[in-house]
Amino acid sequence: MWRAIFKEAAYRKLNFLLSLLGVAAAVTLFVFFFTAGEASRAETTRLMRDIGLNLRIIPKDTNMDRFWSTDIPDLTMPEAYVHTLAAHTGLSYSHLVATLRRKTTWRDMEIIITGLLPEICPHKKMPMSPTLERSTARIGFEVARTLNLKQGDEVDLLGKAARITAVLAESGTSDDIQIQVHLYDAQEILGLEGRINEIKALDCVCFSEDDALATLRRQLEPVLPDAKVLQEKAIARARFDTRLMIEKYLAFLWPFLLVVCSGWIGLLSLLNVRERRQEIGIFRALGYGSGDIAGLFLGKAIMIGLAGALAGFATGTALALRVGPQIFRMTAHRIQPDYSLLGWSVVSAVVFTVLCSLIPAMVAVAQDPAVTLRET
Amino acid sequence: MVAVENVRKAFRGPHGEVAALSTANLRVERGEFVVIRGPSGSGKTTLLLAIGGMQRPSAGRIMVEETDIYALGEKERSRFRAEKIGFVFQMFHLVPYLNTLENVLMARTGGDRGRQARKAGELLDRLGLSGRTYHRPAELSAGERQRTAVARAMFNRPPLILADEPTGNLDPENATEVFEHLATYNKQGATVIVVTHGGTAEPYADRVIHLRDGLLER
Repeated sequence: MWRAIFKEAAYRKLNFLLSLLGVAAAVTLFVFFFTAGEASRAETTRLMRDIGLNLRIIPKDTNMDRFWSTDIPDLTMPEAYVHTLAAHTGLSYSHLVATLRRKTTWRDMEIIITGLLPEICPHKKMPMSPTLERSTARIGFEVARTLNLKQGDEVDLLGKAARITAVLAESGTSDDIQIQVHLYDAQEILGLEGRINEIKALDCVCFSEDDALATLRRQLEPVLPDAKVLQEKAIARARFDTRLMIEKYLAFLWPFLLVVCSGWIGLLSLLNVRERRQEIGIFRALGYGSGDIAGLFLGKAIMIGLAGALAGFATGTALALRVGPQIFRMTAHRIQPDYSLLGWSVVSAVVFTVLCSLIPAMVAVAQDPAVTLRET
Repeated sequence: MVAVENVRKAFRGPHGEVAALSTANLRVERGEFVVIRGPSGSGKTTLLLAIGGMQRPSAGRIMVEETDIYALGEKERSRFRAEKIGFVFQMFHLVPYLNTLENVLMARTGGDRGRQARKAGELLDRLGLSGRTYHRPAELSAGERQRTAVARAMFNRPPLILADEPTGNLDPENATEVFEHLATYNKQGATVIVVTHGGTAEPYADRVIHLRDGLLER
């Protein structure tokens, strides 16, 4: 049986190769997608981080006129609030960053001191923003330019020694005049120990954008009665739309790929049956039963699935290793061959091709030898 | 050996039912060489396929070796055909991607492959195909192809060989050679039924039966 299957595949090369191509292409995409997936997820997280946190939790009695004109709450609240929020289950907040911001003057320049506590992720998510060590500082583009500072410089920051670990890229916003330090350093510099004036956070995009703010406010009220939440609609919308776009894209891509590939393999298998009508008649005349006839076609499907899976795994992995780093530049190091995908590829490709060949195999079994053997 | 009892076969066509066989009755004894002669469209192939268990009659009964072959299930009928009947067709019907030896071995019903291959090799040798063992059908002449088909039909040593216009595509020399091989096999005790529209087979026949418009004439 297998000898005949191999010989037939070698004889009708085009049909075999086109079928193989269909399976291999699907497996290549599958393997590429999952091999590069880790880098893609990390890259998405990075992009989302760059979009920014979209929730701002500030003291309830903040003077909103002044807040909107300075972008800094004039009141403070206990630092413990961020831990209370993080410890409370059932909230839709994630990636909590407690901050203390104040405008001040340093070396005759108006700056904004921003104290940042390392990000707290209540829903076991990976932190999006890098952690600031104590006695280190990241300075805005304008600060660096005006004061002629660079990475590695040691500075006295209003009585607190700090080493500059990074100069931030020009943002075109007030961020260009900020100096980011650890929250505790900022509290020391500003004499506001144990205080923060804002918690930045992300909503989890579990609900549509319309009811998000109302839901978030309802959730926050009993937990932190002295705080209120604001939503940066543009950022929220950008995140929501991005997420929706990716979900829609994937929801379309996979079924489309499956339909196209199954149609392709099924059609080629059906053509193969048509081409082999007389051969089926001969097998029948020689006493081969329906199981043997179906076996010829399903055996070929298994062979195609197996070969397609191996070819697809090799191509997909090679493609991910070669092309992936060009797509996901910042997270390319995360792209590694995933050998567990080989098993999955083999099993799913074989099952898939056998399923696609079931109808053609039935058609083959149903061929009437009395008709096909008369055909010239 | 073969008993065709009141067999009728009709096909449904665009202009109603067409009778291919009209109440055919025939008995062929073990070891007979029977030629059924008739013009194109007379129902020869239908009769042959019906005897071979591949064309169920509309009515009547066909016994081969005391077995009502259409009373058997599909699986049993396939096995019966594999063990008891060998076919030779006008168009050779060899599997194009298998070589001569493998085409013959297609008929094997089990057993050790090496031993079966040796047996097939000997058979091919007897049929003058020893130099063509590993050639594909496309590399063979018409005569060689038909001799391969004859070897395949004889391989299991079935008691019955059914040949449908076995020399229809051969020159007289090759036709004679094919009939000689069938006659030799017949002399070893097998029954051979040949359907043909020409008279080439008649010198080898114990009996010639005419088939015209679906009716058998003695």
